[in-house]
Amino acid sequence: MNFSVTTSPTSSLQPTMAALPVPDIELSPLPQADGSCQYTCPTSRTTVLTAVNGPIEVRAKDEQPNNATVEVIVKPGIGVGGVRETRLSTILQQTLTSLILTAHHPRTLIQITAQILQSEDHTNLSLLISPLLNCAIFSLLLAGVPLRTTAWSVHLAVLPSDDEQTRDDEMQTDDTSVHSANIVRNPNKAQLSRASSSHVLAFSKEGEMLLIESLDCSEGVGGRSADGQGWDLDEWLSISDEAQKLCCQDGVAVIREVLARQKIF
Amino acid sequence: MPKEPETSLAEKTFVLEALKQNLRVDGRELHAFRDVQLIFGDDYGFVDVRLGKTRVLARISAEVTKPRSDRPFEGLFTISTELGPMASPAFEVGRPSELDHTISRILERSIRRSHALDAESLCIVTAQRVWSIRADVHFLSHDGSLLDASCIAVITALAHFRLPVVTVSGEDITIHDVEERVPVPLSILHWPICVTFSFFGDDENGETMYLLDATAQEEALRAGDMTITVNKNGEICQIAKSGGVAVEAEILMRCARLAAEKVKVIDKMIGDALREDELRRNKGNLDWLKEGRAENDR
Repeated sequence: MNFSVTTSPTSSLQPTMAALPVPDIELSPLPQADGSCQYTCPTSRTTVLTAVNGPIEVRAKDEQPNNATVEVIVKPGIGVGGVRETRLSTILQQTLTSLILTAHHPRTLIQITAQILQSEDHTNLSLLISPLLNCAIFSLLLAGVPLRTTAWSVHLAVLPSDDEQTRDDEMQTDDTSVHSANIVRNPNKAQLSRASSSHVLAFSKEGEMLLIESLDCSEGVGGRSADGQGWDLDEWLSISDEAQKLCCQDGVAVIREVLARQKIF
Repeated sequence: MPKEPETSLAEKTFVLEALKQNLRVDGRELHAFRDVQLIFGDDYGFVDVRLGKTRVLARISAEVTKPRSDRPFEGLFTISTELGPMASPAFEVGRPSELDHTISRILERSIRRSHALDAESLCIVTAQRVWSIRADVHFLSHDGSLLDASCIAVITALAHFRLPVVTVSGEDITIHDVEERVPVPLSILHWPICVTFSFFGDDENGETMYLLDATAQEEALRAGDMTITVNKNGEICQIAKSGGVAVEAEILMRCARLAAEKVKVIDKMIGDALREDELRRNKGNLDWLKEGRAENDR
């Protein structure tokens, strides 16, 4: 399987990237929480709900003398939380801590609770990270927690260039010859199962990279390089550029639009 | 960890004095439920119940397991409830509160032990393979009556859930995909619904005041509570009254009769909501449902 990704994604990848479906966002669905948000990913139909309480009293063992403690609890839709949820909450905790101005509320707790409501595949982490992160950022904004900046996260999957269904999709766009590899934004389960690699990236409004979760999905499809990686550096860089562009332009636009619609800020 | 804010004396006096004049803070009748809203998800067995500001979500899942050796003909059914900080920061993760235990025990008694779900219908191969049904209850927002809301959520979700069709040939079982064969509803024998009464001592005429569907504020001020679980046939599945103010037998009978009345209304509301959702899913065609019932021979 040969991927030859052009390093100028802006020109070649644009047609597939046209018209980003806007996520379904409900602000403050929970009246009791300080800030809450329900987020439905437009393509994968992953629905998550997050609530933020804070700054509140902190347990003595978690208290930090100069900073607020950020706690993230992820609860699965089915069953009890396990290793997967702990991993998710660690990823979220690290990413969000870098955004929150924790020094503004020392010796307190900022508690972020996330509930996965619906997901096509609740065992697949990469489908969940980006909805959870975007949803948590809205909740933090609504709770009035001081943030350094806002951020946005996207999930990109690379489909093999000989993928039939992608080719069908592409027929609808005018320009089909340029694509040698196909990047799908916020893929659903079916697309992800055909993908050779999947990448969740988060960028702040200023374009600073906050999160990289790149996964090789080539099991079953057959990895293409000797070391079993589903991507090479050029490809990854083009994905990173694409993600940065999406987060800093479309993501920021979505945040601005959603908040303006609600006349909150 | 943070506690629920305590009700101030002024607030307490206001609510109790108003009650003596048959008035509630939210303007409801003493024995009126808040509007129940049922929202179904894309998947079967996903129900979001909203009762005023209270919001409870139930999700049903099924997997094939080995039955218990002492009950080889019966499938498994578990209800999992956990109050997390999403409902209120006063609820801690991994440290169940008293309310947590009360809810899980009463739900267990109301639904599981009243045999609302026919456990024998979940058997696939005797002593080898049975369905294990799991109901996850998520409490999203707490404004009183969590128990009533979660009972409605579990029952509605069970009635909404569809089990994949299984064919057995000798030792082998095949679980058919949802696309391949139309999944069948669970066999539910009756719909028990919990109704919680909150008692507030005596009014001026010496009659015990009791409320239905109390808000979090009313729950914090009540002198006692009692949960009656009734199905639409008027059969009482359980009564739970742990502590609190003493209640006369006559009041208790009145409560039971009122509960049976309320349950009929809720039962009808659930049935209507389920039918509406079914119509939405099947674009107005309900004929397939008649063939897909679990009670029929397959």
